[in-house]
Amino acid sequence: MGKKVLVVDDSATVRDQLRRALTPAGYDVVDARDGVEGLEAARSHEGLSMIICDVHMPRMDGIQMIAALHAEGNEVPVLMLTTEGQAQLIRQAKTAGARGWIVKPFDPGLLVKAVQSLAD
Amino acid sequence: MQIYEQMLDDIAGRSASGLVPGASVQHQPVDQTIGGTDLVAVIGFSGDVARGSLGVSAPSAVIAATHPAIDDAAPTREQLEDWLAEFSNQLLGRLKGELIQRNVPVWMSTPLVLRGVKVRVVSSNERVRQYRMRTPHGDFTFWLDLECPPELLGAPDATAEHYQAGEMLLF
Repeated sequence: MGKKVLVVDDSATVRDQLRRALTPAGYDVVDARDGVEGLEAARSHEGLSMIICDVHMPRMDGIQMIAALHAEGNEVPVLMLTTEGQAQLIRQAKTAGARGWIVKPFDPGLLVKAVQSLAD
Repeated sequence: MQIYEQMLDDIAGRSASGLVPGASVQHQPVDQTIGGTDLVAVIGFSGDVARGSLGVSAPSAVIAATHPAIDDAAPTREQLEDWLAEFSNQLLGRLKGELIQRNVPVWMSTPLVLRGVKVRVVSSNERVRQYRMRTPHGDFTFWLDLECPPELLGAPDATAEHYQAGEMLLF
């Protein structure tokens, strides 16, 4: 069984795209559609190696979600994957506990390398 | 052509051409009816000094052919709608990046997807610019309505802190 990665994004296309990139690289992918679902999934799935998370999502955004996880002592590395490229927002995410940032659209090969770097 | 319109066309072209490999972008008259299309995604944005909206449309076959997570299987209606919404989100994200480099920050709304047969912008708003985005799989059409002081759309500010599509940072 591969390492487990939680994907949190409100776009089904992006969730499918990430599953297609990560599964052949040996990762098991679980997913969630917004920050609230992502928070619940991160709490309920044991042995997560990595979280990949969008920023703008309904109900709870990605930065709020990782700040909540960080406050609970959850140290699973988080990679933000978003259309946003503002340095100010990136600094906010870093402060909240993010370990990386990729601006969409992304290269699947580059993404897998980032996950290997952070999760392995 | 007005300098403002040329700047807008340059910004729109740069934003769109990187989304699909091999794509090119041309301005076209806004009163042209777009036939054969199925879906339209509309997304708004606003900020302190700029605001507007973006619409993106294409036939289902083109949306399906550019879908990044489907091979040979016929995509479902939901998959096409979701991808067009995400496409509009990524296109506006790139436009937003162009604006941020000019110190014009804007915030984006969530996209709304509409289904129809013929699409035409019905507006007396002369700001609306219509573009054809040619891809190897067929054409997308998009409309941009940007209200922004023209003097802000000049050359990018080299000191503006912004990262481009595809860039990765690890902390």
